[in-house]
Amino acid sequence: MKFEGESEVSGTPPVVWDALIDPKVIERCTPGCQSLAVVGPDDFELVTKIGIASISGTYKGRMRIAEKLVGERYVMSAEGAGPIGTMSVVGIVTLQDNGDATRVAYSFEATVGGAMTGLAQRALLPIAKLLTKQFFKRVEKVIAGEDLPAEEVGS
Amino acid sequence: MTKSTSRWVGASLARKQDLRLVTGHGRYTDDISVPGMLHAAMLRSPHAHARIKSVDVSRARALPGVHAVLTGEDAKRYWGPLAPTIDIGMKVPTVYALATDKVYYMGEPVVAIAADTRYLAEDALEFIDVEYEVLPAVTDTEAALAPGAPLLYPEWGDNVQCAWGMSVGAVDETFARADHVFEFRLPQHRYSGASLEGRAALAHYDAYNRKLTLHCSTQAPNLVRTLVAQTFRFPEHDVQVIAPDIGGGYGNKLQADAEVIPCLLSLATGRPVKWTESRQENLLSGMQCRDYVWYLKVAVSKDGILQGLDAQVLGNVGCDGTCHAAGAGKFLVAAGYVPGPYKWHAFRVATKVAVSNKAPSGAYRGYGKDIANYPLEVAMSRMADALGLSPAEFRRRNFVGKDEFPYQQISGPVYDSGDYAQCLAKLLELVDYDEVKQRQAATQGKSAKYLGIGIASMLEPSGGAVPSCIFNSYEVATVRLMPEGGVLVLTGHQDIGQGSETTLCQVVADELGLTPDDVRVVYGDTNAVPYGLGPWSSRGATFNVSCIAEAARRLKANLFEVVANLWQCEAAGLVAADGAIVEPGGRRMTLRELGNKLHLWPGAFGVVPKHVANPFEVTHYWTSPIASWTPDELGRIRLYTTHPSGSSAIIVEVDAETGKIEVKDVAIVDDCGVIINPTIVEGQLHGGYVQGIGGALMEEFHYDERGQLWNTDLTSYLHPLATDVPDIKCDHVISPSPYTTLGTKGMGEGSTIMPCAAMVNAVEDALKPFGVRVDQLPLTPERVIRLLKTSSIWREMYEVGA
Repeated sequence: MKFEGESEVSGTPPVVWDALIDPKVIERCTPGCQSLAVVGPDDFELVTKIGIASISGTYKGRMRIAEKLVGERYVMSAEGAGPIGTMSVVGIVTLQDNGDATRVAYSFEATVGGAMTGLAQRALLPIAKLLTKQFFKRVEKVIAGEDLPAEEVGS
Repeated sequence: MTKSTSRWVGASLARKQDLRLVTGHGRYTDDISVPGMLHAAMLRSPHAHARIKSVDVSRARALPGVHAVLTGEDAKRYWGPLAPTIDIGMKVPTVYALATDKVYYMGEPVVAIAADTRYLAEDALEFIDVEYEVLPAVTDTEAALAPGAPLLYPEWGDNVQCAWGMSVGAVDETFARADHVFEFRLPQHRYSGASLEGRAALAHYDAYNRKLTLHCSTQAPNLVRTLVAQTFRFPEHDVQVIAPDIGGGYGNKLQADAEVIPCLLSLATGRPVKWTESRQENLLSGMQCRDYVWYLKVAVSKDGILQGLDAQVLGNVGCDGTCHAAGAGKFLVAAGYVPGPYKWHAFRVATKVAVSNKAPSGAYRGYGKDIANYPLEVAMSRMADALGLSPAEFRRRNFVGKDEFPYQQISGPVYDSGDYAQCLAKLLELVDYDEVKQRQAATQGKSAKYLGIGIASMLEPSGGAVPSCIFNSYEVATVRLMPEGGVLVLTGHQDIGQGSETTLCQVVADELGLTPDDVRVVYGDTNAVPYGLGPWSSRGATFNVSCIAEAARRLKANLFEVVANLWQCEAAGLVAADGAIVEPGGRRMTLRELGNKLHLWPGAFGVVPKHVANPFEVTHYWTSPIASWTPDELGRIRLYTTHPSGSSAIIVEVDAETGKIEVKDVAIVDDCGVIINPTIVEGQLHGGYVQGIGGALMEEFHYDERGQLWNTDLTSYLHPLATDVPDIKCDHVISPSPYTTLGTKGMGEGSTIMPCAAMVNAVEDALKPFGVRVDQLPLTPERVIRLLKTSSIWREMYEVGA
């Protein structure tokens, strides 16, 4: 399943870059993130709680950042398992200067397993898009030094 | 065949059960709640093939309201592996109700939880940590059989669960001498029955009574009792299985698979535990069916006479077709019956059944007869086309003739009765075949909608008596006269919608001169009924009806002896009619008077002479007069008693622009021998045919190459709706079977056997201008377009930019 899109985040590419690969920012901004442990350089273990309809539940996973081209692009890979199945995602995130903001484009290939498979095409894509959008919004707020909203859809 | 007064047999009596069922007063397993009941949920494998590295249930066990969390290791330590349902020279894996060291299919239960509520049980699944090592999966039949395929059970050395073959006559010589030799590869995809009620089980282990009670949705309570007892190494007589109303069976509910999990949880907690399968669980792990590839080679003479058949079937039973359910056996049935209703001089068949990383395989309306029918009937129409004969004429030239019965088929079975040519003739009339062909010729090419008609004939071997298998060879039932003159029929034969609760009353009413309201059929409780086997293999009208009719006859003979003694007359002169035993032109005693006399006023001592056998009730054992497990000189055995037959036609309109197939007309002519209840028979024909159309056009378990099932709900696994099916026309030919007591034959599967072949034949007939040959089912619009794209004529006519 292909899953791609882009978001505009206020801040110059170097600022946005630093935020995107910072485990503390990832922990704070990933919707529903309960905990993030750094297990190696650019290698994290996450526990995330998703509260959306049929995929509700706690998901445990591993996330890695690789092939970094500082300020421009990196490869993100993640795999996780929750009550209704497994999911692995691998893809490229690219940053592009856009004046005061940075255009962050992502292109992921997701593989789902377990009961999730049946949901994948219909339900998961919009959910993944929603969560990704939330993630970038939160990153933007962190960069601006604003408070993060406590609860959002999906967390 | 002894003639009895037939007043009720043949009558379209309204079904007794419908009052409660259609008014919402049926009682299904999930309707039953008992005090102290817990609810089960199962953690299922997300992988199709993986080694279980660790299972940590400590967090789930610690949750308040969770009473038991069981793993495969618990199952292994405290209980036995799933008891086999069939083992005729098969490899039987050692598998447990919960996965132990490996998972073999996506959706396999790994951990089971019993908690105060279903919500809590489901939520608690999140607190279980399982580590898997994912292994390469194999799903395709031929890939599973290829060298180097990932092995499910490495100790087997391959993925073959069973293999078998036979050869009769000079096969190679026949093919060498043949005028025409045709070859076909015909696969069929994986789909299954879809009961409104999935599986459901409520288990209650009463430690103080040392008794396990299991309410469950099953077709065969007695068999489930045995399998559960074997799996738990628990005394069978201390197990009671109760099957209340059943919301559909279709062969899918003939095993003790996930049903043993609530038993396990109840044994662990000492409390009743209920599990009601969700639709997703049903699609993931309820018994699946079909899934095979045939290779057929047919030798035909220039005058259109079949000479030789050389066939090979490769079946796919998913992770298992022996313990989880008895799916492997259907490919043996298919191999034995692929000669169909036609005559042959030489025959060779081989079957190989593969395991793969898909859900287990069981029975589904056909159990191999459908598998035998599909390739042959498609081949018959294609060969007729090649020979320049009409599909009907080619079949007629090769049918076993009506005067040739009993006819021993080349593969061994003895066909009891039938008139195949008459079924086909009646069909052509019913569907107005010639008019359709004229209409086709007149309209062809005038629009993008192409009219086509396909026919298929069938044979429905019924009442299988299979050795070394739960689908065994006898039926036993009791007919009991009550003190107040009413009659109870006690049978292990479950009513699963086929209406036996009503039809058996019709049979007994005729035998005893009663009305169906004077008779009640008791079933669905292993502690109330004899060890009868149940409804499968369309055996009700073969085994159970014969058994119960003979039981009633024996009871009547005993009652006649009593009355003859009272009246000092000849028992031979008595008849049972209008609720009484009657001396023609003379005395009359109602069954109520007789029942009272026997039990109360004055009671048995006063009325029953010493030489008379039990006048209260008769338990009768019935077995087939023709089935035989002793191989003949060619090694052939005979497993089926009756061979119902029929023909059907489908008329379609195929839209060459969109690929959509519209079913315009369906007609069926069925020969099930003597008909007990015409409305019920036609209902079965309609329902079965619609299931077949579903399989031909839309139903499919869509597994990807990793073994992931993509459609686990009913918006992505499609079934035909009322709007997809036209009114179905039915007619009958009646050739009574000489091997059953009333001349009845099975009829539960025949109409599901035919539609796939009839549909393919209809679509190929409609698309004849494009020369399309169907190579895969279901015929979704996408697939039809893909087929059409192989035609240069179509590409010229319809492809944009061509």
